[in-house]
Amino acid sequence: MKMNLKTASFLGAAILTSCTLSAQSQSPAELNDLQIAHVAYIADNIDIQYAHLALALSENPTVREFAQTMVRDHNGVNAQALALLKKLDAQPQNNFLSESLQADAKGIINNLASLRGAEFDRAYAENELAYHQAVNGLIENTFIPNIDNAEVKALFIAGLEIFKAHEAAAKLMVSNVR
Amino acid sequence: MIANIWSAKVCRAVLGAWMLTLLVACTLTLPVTSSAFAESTNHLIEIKGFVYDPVTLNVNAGDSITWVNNDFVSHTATAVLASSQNEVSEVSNLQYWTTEEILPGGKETMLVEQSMILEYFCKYHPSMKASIARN
Ligand SMILES: [Cu+2]
Repeated sequence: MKMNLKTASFLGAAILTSCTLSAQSQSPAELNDLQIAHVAYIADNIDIQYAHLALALSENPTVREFAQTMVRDHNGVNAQALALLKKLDAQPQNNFLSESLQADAKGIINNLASLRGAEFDRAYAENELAYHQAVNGLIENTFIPNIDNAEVKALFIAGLEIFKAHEAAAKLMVSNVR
Repeated sequence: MIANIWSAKVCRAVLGAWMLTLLVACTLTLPVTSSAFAESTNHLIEIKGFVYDPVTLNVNAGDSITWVNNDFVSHTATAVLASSQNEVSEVSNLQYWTTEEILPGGKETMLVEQSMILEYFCKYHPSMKASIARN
């Protein structure tokens, strides 16, 4: 229980750090479409990394089913995004938010990798819920209103639908492993 | 002019042969159609934006249901197993079923059985729920 709380506050701190950093230096609202695409691609891949960790470490069927869905769906979204970028003949652009997301993820992965059994399952589930809430908030409130290209915007609207379903599934998983 | 008459004759011949074929075909297939297939329907359910449409479908045993996936991630249609003890005893005679993974742009078809579980969901996205109702 103690470990669990510590893990949860660690994850919370990581998400908070990225928010504070971005507020101080640059704003996510100022990213252009190709930078936003880059953030989404990185965010997708981060969740795939978390999922692979869960598939390597967890024996809980609910956790494993969820992780398999994350790999399947985020790969599906990425394929769609890459197809659109190819069609638009555009390259995603690295930016401060992509970098801060990656830095946060590195810390979270190190922490998760040190946990085993029910402790891992709880930490993974809570992180998935927090992560999808944070990313969905970013997509809904900041990215979608600021995207210029109609096709890119449509892709993000469809993506948000998927990630909201993930958020709902993560909520179920959290209550399941508690 | 000659060509026209000739082609009209050919047309009549072809038409005649075609009608004869149709007549034979009808005679042969009609009894089969009316007895075995006339009452079974193939119902279509579209999955789009993480929603089954229609969300409730009326079916008869012997009908089939085809789920078409128009999202760009995979889904399933999977019977909901009752969780509480009471429900388990109540539905223990009902038959569990699930489709395979329904790929983006893909479809899966299932035959409606008399004793199948009526509530279903997506195994990958448990917040997606729908049901079938037997007439
Ligand atoms: Cu689904």
